[in-house]
Amino acid sequence: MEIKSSNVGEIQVLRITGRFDSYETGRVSEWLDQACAQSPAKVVLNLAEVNFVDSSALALMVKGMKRCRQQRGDLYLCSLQQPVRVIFELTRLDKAFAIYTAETEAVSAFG
Amino acid sequence: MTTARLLLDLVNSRRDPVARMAAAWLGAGAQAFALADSGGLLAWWPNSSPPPLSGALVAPVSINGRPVGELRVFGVNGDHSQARLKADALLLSQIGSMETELNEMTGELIDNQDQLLALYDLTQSMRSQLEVVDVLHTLAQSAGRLLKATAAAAVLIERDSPLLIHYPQPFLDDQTLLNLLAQCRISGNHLLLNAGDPVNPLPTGTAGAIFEPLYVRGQIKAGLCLLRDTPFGSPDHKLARAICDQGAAAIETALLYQETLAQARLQTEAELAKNVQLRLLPQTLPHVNGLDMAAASLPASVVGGDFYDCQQHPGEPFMFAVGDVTGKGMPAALLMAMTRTLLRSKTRSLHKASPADILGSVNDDMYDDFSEVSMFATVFVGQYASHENLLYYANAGHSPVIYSPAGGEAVLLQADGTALGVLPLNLCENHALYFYPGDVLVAATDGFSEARNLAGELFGYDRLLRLVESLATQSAQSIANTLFQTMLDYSAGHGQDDDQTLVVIKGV
Repeated sequence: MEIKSSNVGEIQVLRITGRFDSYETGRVSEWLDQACAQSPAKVVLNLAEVNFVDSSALALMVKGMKRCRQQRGDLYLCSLQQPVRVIFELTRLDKAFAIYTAETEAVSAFG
Repeated sequence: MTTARLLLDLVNSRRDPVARMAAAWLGAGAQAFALADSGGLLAWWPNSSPPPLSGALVAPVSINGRPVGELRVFGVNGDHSQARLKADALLLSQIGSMETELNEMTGELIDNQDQLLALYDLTQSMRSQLEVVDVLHTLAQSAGRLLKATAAAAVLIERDSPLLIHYPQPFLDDQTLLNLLAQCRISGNHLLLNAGDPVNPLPTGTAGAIFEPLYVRGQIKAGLCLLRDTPFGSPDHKLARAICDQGAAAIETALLYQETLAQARLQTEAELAKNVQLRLLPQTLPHVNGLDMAAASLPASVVGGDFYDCQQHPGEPFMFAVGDVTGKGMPAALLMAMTRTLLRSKTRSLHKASPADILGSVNDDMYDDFSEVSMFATVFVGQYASHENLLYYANAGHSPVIYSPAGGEAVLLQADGTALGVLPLNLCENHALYFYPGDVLVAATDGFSEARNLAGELFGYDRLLRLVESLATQSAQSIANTLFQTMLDYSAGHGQDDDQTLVVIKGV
């Protein structure tokens, strides 16, 4: 798994590549800790290159989302591949997250 | 040893050659022959009367270059006699030097042997010690005695708290000892200190100190400090080094033993936790009219986050649940126990509660706790009303739940609510489906759909659906057994990634 971060104004974007599972959550967790330290914490996770997420990764994203909301921000997801979208639908986490088809869309949704 | 004693010792130990030397002089016409040092006459020949006080030829004797006295001969004169006397003195000097050297070597040999024996004793006694404190105590005590120190101390920094042992009494305060250890860590070397050292002042009456570092697991984590009323030299350092090497090995052994012990204790605790958790799962499944049932749970680690539960209270429909707390191990197990208990109490206390009511209420109670530890739990709750052949259920983010109607195609019963602990309000709804003889419901956890083979390929939902479909004519127990066995075969050589739990119910 690889991660690459960038900023669009005050919005922090993280692009993740590869499997996103319990063996790989450490670095994303560290990045989210830093990102959530800001207020407002506006975060976009771009999962375009992610082909698998497990429950640890889901738990990490839920944790990030809750902390961003506490910091007057939010955590948006974008560009989910079909297998990943299915996992979100099966666990109904698609109801908990704002999910966008493209990164630009997610970024502009912060307004 | 004083120089005066040296010549006396020589005369005493080599009386014969000296007496022959004297006899030769007397035979050659000398009146008397004597040996003297700064303290006066030591021996004389003929021994009937002391030699006169003056009128002697004199030749100095020195041992190892140091003057120790002289030979005196009376009643002879001339250059020849003077030269002969000088030669005799030289001969005696050489004998003396060799004698001294031999004594020193013998002394050293005895010392070395003593030290070897003491080191051997030290090694033996340390080998039997399994407490770090005891090892440090032996180290300070033995090194103190072997190096004739007035005081000794051993210090060890393991984890964060330092351990200090003094022998026989504390002589330097703890902070000073820790400072010395810190200096050793920086330089990587021992410290030899003398009285009047500006950086590390020594207590009054102390002439020298030595601080030897101990390498424990490749790092300087301990040290030995010795104080003495005479300065320490290079041989002392070598001996201290040898003792410290033994000490370091003994400390490593003791640490390893302590760790093994702690690990065994943890293992026992984990086993206890496992037993407690297994007891939380239903020990037997109730008999429910119209249903054939099987259930089992196989944690990936000693304890897991998966659970299942069944309850049947008089006048209430049969209730069952399958859940999965995110993560593995002890944290997941603790939350699993909480979730399962709350589900039970809600089922009992909320009269005629629907599956969605129960899940919503558990979420209300546990949302804050789940958020606090950044976890959540997916839960499927089913209720079976046998008189109406109806299965009511609500699904909070749980998958896979597979419904395989008799003779029909197996389908996933997808969740409509998020997992417990994700959102403050849980919005899952109640659903109902007819459940007739031959219909099968398998509520499993993602340890089944996400089992991986050696190539890393997931077992996946499709394969799981087809498998359940193909097994649907068998008994609930047989379906459960085959599902577990299939996962075991599929992930052969790869190991179990996640907890695997399932409840199988079949209409009969």
